[in-house]
Order: sequence, then C-alpha cells, then structure tokens
Amino acid sequence: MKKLFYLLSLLLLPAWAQAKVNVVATLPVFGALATEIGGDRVAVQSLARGNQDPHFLDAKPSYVVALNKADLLIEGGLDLESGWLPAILIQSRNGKIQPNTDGNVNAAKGLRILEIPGSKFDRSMGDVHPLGNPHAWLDPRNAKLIAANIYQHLAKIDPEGQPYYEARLKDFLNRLDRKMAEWEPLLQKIRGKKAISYHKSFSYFADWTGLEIVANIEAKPGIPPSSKHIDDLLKIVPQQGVKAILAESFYPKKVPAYLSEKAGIPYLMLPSDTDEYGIVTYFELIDYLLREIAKALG
Amino acid sequence: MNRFGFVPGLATLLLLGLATPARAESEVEMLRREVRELKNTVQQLTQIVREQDRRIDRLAPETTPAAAKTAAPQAEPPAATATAATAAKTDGVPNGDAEVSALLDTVNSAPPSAGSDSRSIGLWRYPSGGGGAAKLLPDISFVPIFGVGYFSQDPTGDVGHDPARTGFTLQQIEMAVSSAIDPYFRFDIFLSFLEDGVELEEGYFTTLGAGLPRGLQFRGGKMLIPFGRQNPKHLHFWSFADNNLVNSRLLNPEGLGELGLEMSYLFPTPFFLQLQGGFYNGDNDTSFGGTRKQDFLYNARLSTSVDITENLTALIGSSLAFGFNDTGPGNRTDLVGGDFLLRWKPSARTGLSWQTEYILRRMQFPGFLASDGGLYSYVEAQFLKNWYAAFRYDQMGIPQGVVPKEFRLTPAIGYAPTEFSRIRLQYEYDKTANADPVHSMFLQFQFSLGPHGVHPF
Repeated sequence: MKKLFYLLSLLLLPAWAQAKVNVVATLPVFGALATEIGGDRVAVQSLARGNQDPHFLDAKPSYVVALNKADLLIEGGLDLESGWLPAILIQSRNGKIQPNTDGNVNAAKGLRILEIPGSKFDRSMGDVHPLGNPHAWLDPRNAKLIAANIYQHLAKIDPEGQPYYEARLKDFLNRLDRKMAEWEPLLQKIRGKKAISYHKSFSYFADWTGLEIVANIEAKPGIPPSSKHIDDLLKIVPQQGVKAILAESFYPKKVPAYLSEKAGIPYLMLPSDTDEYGIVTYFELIDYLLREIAKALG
Repeated sequence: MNRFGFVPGLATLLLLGLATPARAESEVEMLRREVRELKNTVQQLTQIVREQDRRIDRLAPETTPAAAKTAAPQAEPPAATATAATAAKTDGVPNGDAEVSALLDTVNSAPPSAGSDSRSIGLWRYPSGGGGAAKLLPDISFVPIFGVGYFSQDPTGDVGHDPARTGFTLQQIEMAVSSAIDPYFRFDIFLSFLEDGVELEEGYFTTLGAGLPRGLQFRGGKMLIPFGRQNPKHLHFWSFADNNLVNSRLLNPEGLGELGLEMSYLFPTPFFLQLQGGFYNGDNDTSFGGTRKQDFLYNARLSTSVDITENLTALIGSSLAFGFNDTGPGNRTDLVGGDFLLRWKPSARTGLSWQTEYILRRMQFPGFLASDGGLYSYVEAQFLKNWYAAFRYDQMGIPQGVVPKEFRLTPAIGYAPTEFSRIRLQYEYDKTANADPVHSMFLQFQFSLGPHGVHPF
C-alpha cells in the first residue's frame, strides 16, 4: 500500500510541478531569453544543447514528453527546426502549442529577415532556407524583438503574471541598452573588418556589428566545400584582407584549420548559442562573441 | 535622322489619340481612378503620420532629439516604429511603455515571410509571402526510389516493394500530401506510384490535441498499423532496400496497412510511455483477411523510452494483435511482438543504432494451429556525416509452423550527399531450408523532392 502511494505521488509529481509556466525552447538561447522575461514564474527547458547543430536533431521520444507538458513553445521559425520539430509537435498531442496559437512563439516574427532567396532557386544551390536565414538571434536588436514577442505570449497564457513579465521585459531592455553602449568600443574594432564563416550562422551578427563576411566555407548551405572552393578561399584571404575564420564547434574542423594554417589567419571556434563555453545568459553570449572576435581582428 | 523621326512620330501618336476618342475617354477614366486611389493613399498616409506623431509625443519626455538622431542611422529595421525601440538608446533613460509597445508593434507587423506557417509546396513556396492562397496549399513531396540488382535466383511470390528481379526495379514513387485542416485535425496522404498503377499507402487524419484531454490522440483512415518498430515506417526510412524477413512473412511485404481507427495515450510520466490501440478492417491476407462481417483486426502497443545519457536513447515496445484469417470462418490469428532500440547520437555527423524485433504468430488453420516466429536484428552506423553502414540478421522459424525456416544476412552501405538524396549498395545472402542459397546485390537510389522531410525517430 505504501509502495502504491509512492508510485502515485511519483505520477502526480509532474502535475504539481506545473504550478510554474512550462516553457520549452527549441534552442538554449531562446530559453535564456525566456528566463529573462519569465523569471521565477516559468520553468524553462531547452531541447537542443548549445553544441548541437540546430538543423539536425533527433526527434527523440523524450522531446515528445517535454512538448506534451509545455505551456509555451519557443521556436526559431524560418524552417530552422523543420527536420525534427513538426513530427514531435504532432505527437505531443498538445493543442496549446501548435503553430499560430498563444502557446507558440515564432521567434522570427517581425524581424528583418536576411538572405531571403529570390523567386528563382532550387536545391541545386544547397539546402537553401526558402524563408531566409534563420540565425537571427545574434543581433541584439532582434533579441529585443524576440524578448517582446516572448513577453506578449507569456502575458497571454499567464495573465496574472503580466505586470511581473512587463517589469522584467523593461529591465531586460534597459540592461541590453546599457550593454549595447558598453559594446560600442568593441564594435568599433570589428566594424569594416573582413572574415570568412563556415555556415551562414553569423550573418545577423555581421549585420549588426558591421563585420564583413566575405565568403563562407560552405559554398552552398549544407554542402561540404570542394577543393576548388577551398583554393578560391585561399586567394580571397590576401585579396580582400580577410582577418579570421569563424565557425561553430559542431562544424568539421579540418577545412577551417587547413585554411587558417595556409593563410596565416586565426580560426575562431565560436558559440552561436548559449549553453556552451560556460555561457548562460544572452549577454554572456554576445560578450563572448564580441570579445573573441575583437581580440582576433583588433 | 533621329531628330526628324521624333516629330512625325509624335504627330502620329497625337493623330492616333485624336482618331480614337473612345480610348482617350477611357484614359481619362483611368486617370480619374488613379487620382482617387492616390487621394485614398494620401489619406491613409496622413493617418499613419498622425499616429506616429502621437507616438513620438509619448516618447518625447524620454527621448532627446540628439539621441533620436544618433539612433536612427544605426539601424534599418523594417518598420519605422522599431527605429527608436531596437537601436541602442544612448540617453540612459530607462525603457518604458512606449518602447515596449513599439517593439510589440514591430513584432506583430510581421511580414508574411516571417510567419511560422509550415504549409508550403517546398521549393515552390513564395519566399517573401506569396499571398494568402499559396499559403493554404498543402505540403506536397515526392520520394522516388528505384534501383538495379542481380539475383542468383529471382524472387517469386509477393515481394511488396522489395527489389524484384535481376535488372531494374522501380520500388515506388511516394507522393506525400499533408496539411493541418483546422486547429483540431491534420490529414496526411501517401500515394505509392508504381510502374503499373497507383496505390493508397496511407491516408489518415490525426488530432492535434485541441479540445481533447492532454495526452489523448486519435488517428483514422488507412494506416500502417503500429505493430512493432518496422511496420509503420515508410520505405525511404528503412535502413535496407528490402523489408525485414519476419515483417514480410508474418505481417505483409509492403507493411500491414489497414483501414481503421486508432486511439493513443501518452501517459503523464516524466519519461515516454505510450499506449496505442486500434481496430481495423483486417482485410490484409498475409495473416488476416477473415470474410465474416465481424472479422475485425485489433491492435495494441505499449512503448516506453528513456534517455540513458544525453546522447544515448533506449526504446522498448511490445505489440499485440488479433483478428481472423481467411482459412475458414472464425479461424483466429494472434500476433505478439517485442522490440527494442538503442540509439547513440553524439552529433549530427555520427550515430549508431541497434534495433531488434521478434514477432510470433499463432494462426488457426482448419484442423490445426500453426505457430511461426521470427526476428531481425540490425546495427546501423553513421560516420563522416554522409556515410551509413548497416548489417542485418534475419531469422524465420523460431518456432517453425507453416512458414519455411529461412535466414538472411544483409550488409549494406549508403552514401547520402545531402539529406535529399541517398545511394545504397546492398548484398544479401538468403538461405531457405531445403533450397540453394540465393545471393543478391542491389544498388538503390532515393531522392526527395519538396519540403524538408521530417525524420521519424
């Protein structure tokens, strides 16, 4: 009998934990922003880890469980998670977080989307994102909009917490403004400098900082570079005065390392998400990127 | 020449214009309409400007003109409202309601391109918001699978979509059409185009959770029934070019697909625990096909999964099905199955899976009961991102009833240049009791046209 009681309480445990708003973010960085706005009123869980390529995740059954219990889902949108999220979203049986509901935050909403392909394109150009580049969160101006977006959804699904969320949003915006002023000297160092990146992960970061990404190691998104392309990149480095190679840790290290050695420019292994290199908050993420890139280019 | 050409040209135009008063009139009409439209636009713009003014007034106590000036050129956001809000404020005045509402205005003024709408026809989707109608089209994709093979002795009987002969085999061109219907339902249709016709592979609705107790889900229509891990999987998600032996012999070479209704429940446990139950027509004649009107097929599956570590996932399931067969009125068929999967996925570029499934069938024949059992077990490794190596062991005859004892060994190697194409080379050694072993070799090509496919676990 006692055993049965324990078993029952174990089953009821998740119900008790639901006193907080359950937020599930596809990426840790969206989770970090949700924590900024939601504070103590939310319990945040991220599906991907910071060192995982967000395009390719396994649609694990444990994700189905997480989504089933979620009150709010934050997704990057723009087909970022299209290889795995739709399947688990259906299996989640959770009507509250399906696309276009109050419980579903599409982080791309309202952002100025870069690299939207023209009307004439196909997959011979690589795994092009038809809706544009989804790596939008590395621009703090976008982070403000994403935070406001998260706030408006939290306020809708948890109206009691609205004043709390609003105060936290304002506080976040203030801290971000102060930080952006603080970052200005670092931006000065980066602005106009040239770099090569592996994937088009840093386009928004470059758009904000004024860093110029003159080429990508992946000539076509998702397709490994040909040896001719690598030769071309080696020519571009002195021609254009490229100062560094930027890549996330989950990309192959061989080609960037080879380029770095041949061209004599640093190879920076960088995070594009929190939950890696000890980074927890959004501020730490941008701090880290600016510091490392400014150090290498400055 | 040019100069003189101009004058007569102009004269001709004028003459033409005079000679066609009707046209001139319609042009006047057109101009009038344009003026009206312009007037409307100006009115709208005036309204917007007034609203902006009001907003600026609200901002005024906080934003000094100097700050606004420095902020403006820094950012070029889509909407003017966002300029003040998204650029760094340099005046040190804290963010207030105006900033928040400006940010929200920008978020909610989302151009269609940023919408999460997953409905699209893949590459034919209009990237920058191609109007409402285009967005309502369902997802459409095609997966052609064909190949060329050699058999030391060509297979006979029903082989489903498996490679069928020495020479070329079109395994199928799958066409998938899917869309959310409303907040309550979605519908998925899978057609299989073969050389000599089209088959409905699956066509079913799924509830999306709205209006149902949390955890409950219904599916209905024609479905590959969830008996075990392999049966519900489509050909292009198989790790080999042909179906597993035990699935072919005891369920159906193409997979056991039936018309019916399924209810499933995801338990509110901290780990994955799911119960699926359904009843179906039971028309499939490999093990069922009873002809009386009460001859339905019933299926239940309980599966559970845990993440042992962040990268290692285990899944265990057991399935049960019973129905009636076509060997005589009221003759029953019972199926029992158990399966497990261990999947290690340390990165997007590497992975290792081990999947094993055992199925036992007890089938009543006139005057006797036959028990047939079989299993498959395979490992599949992904390495160097694009390469896959797999090895399968198939065994029928544990126990042996009416299906001959048979075993197969199948190594395969696959190369997937991208997620959208795959080439696979497979060798198979097939030994049936009291027969010569059959060797076969098959080179398979798989392509995926249309939106990003979603990979089932």
